[in-house]
Amino acid sequence: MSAFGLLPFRFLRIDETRTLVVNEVGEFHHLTNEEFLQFVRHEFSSDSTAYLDLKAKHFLFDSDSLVPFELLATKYRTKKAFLDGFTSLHLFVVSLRCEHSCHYCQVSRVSIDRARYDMSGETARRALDLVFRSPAPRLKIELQGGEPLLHFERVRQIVLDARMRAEAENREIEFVVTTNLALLNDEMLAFFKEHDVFLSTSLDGPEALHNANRPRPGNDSHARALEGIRRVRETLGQDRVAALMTTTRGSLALPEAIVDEYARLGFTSIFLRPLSPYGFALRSVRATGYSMREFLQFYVRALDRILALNAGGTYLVETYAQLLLTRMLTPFATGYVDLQSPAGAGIGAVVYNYDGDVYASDESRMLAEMGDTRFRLGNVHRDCYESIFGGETLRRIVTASVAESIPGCADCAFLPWCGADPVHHYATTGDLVPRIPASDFHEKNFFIIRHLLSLYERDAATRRIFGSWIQDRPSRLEEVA
Amino acid sequence: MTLTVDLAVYPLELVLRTCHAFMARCFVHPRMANQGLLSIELVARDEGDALHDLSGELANALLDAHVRMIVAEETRAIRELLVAQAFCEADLLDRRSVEGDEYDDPRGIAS
Repeated sequence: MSAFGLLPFRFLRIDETRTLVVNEVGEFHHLTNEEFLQFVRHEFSSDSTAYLDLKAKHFLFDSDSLVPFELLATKYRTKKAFLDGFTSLHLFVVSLRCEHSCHYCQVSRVSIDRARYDMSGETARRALDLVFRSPAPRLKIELQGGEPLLHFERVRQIVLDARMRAEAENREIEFVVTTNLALLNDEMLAFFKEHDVFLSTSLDGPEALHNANRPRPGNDSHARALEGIRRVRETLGQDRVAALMTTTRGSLALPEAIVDEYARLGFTSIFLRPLSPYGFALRSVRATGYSMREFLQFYVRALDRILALNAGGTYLVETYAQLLLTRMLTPFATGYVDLQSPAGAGIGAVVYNYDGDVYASDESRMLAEMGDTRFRLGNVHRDCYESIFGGETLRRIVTASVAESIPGCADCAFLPWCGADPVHHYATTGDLVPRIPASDFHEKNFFIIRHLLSLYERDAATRRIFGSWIQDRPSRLEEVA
Repeated sequence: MTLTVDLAVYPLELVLRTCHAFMARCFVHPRMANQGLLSIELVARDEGDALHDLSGELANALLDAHVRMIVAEETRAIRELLVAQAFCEADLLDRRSVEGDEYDDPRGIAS
């Protein structure tokens, strides 16, 4: 036995024989139940392996050295580094128009011929005034819609204006255009190349599934997306376009085919995303909806397929797993707004709607399209930076999203890896603070984290694949194959 | 299904916190019984839901919650110091017992 003190940690009974302990900065260790009991009773032998592991991982201290406290404080600060610099991601809805009519659309698009749903030049300039009031040293501007290429004039204005302001202030800036690529032309490609613009598109899987999910005149969404991807890669480079998929009811039976489509097209990442309870997605829930349990079954099958491809030498990252693993296995923050405490809505990312209204998140804007403007922070024409970013609405969102104070989250062993999404909680329950035991947000994150932990423990090959993901280094796969 | 909890063993706040985790699986009705006892009635959400396992689970969850409370109390001061130190520009750690100046020798190195 030895004299030692406990450092802060949480725990979870993994099964009948083992307990997982996770400290304040997300380092973790598995103990037998007997070891756990000895640990909390201060009855550990100081020469046991478990004792030394727990000491090395900052679960206990046994001298008057301040080093464990200094290291933990530094790691805690690193984990919360997303707070440093305040809002860095600024999303512009340059038009609400879209020529697609996707059942699950989250952006509440309007028909193509209604020009009053376009952002004006003055609104864009005033929004940029706010962007450049942000203290963030690195800014990212994401241009989206509707379909932003329907209002390319505004895309061009925002990129040129923001580039000029960033150079004048010596700030780093990057641009992303979120587009279905169907309307991409040579003029746009040349502009994107000149200004180093990254493109993000939608790809739901094989042609039949994609076209069923994403109807457009001609029923050729998949073909147009693939042609757009080919042209972007040819002109801008292989890594200048990424794709996102949305899981619909039709996707549930096709996880392997969806993953294979991404691998076939040479993508190095796939983001397995469930439907969001907003916009048209909510209105068409009977046609496209499913339970979280069904999504998680889909997720497990898809992840198995992804791991098998990686084991065979094809580098393909599942983005949500990558985000969680980065939080679990490294000291770093990820900047993903829904996996943060407090959440990043408004303080990590903010949305400027076509009409100048400012929202804490894209989901907040979708709620407003459905008639609930609770999360509108202000308007670029009427309100100043201080009232938008220092006002009561944003303070309420941030306060409600501190997971450390949410019942059910506060004691959870996964808290250092997880986060909160007050807008989602409000959309699904009418309350900013979730009822965790019944929350689908909790169900998803708790299940996936447990699943990743079990895969991580399973074998060395999986650990090496996960290692390559968190370092984003395909070369590490060579050690697996 | 009813579980009776002795409030001399478990504080009321801890019991209610533990019950909260079960609310998605059944309806939970805590009621004060006599002589410092709390009666927790578990009612199935749907007919046919088995409750006998839940009562045992709740009893074990109370034990774990008690351990969490002990650990939280033991580490509270350190946790608060770590968070404060992480966000503070100044150094909040008390170094008097480990770092000396030209007059002090807290580790007894000179002697």
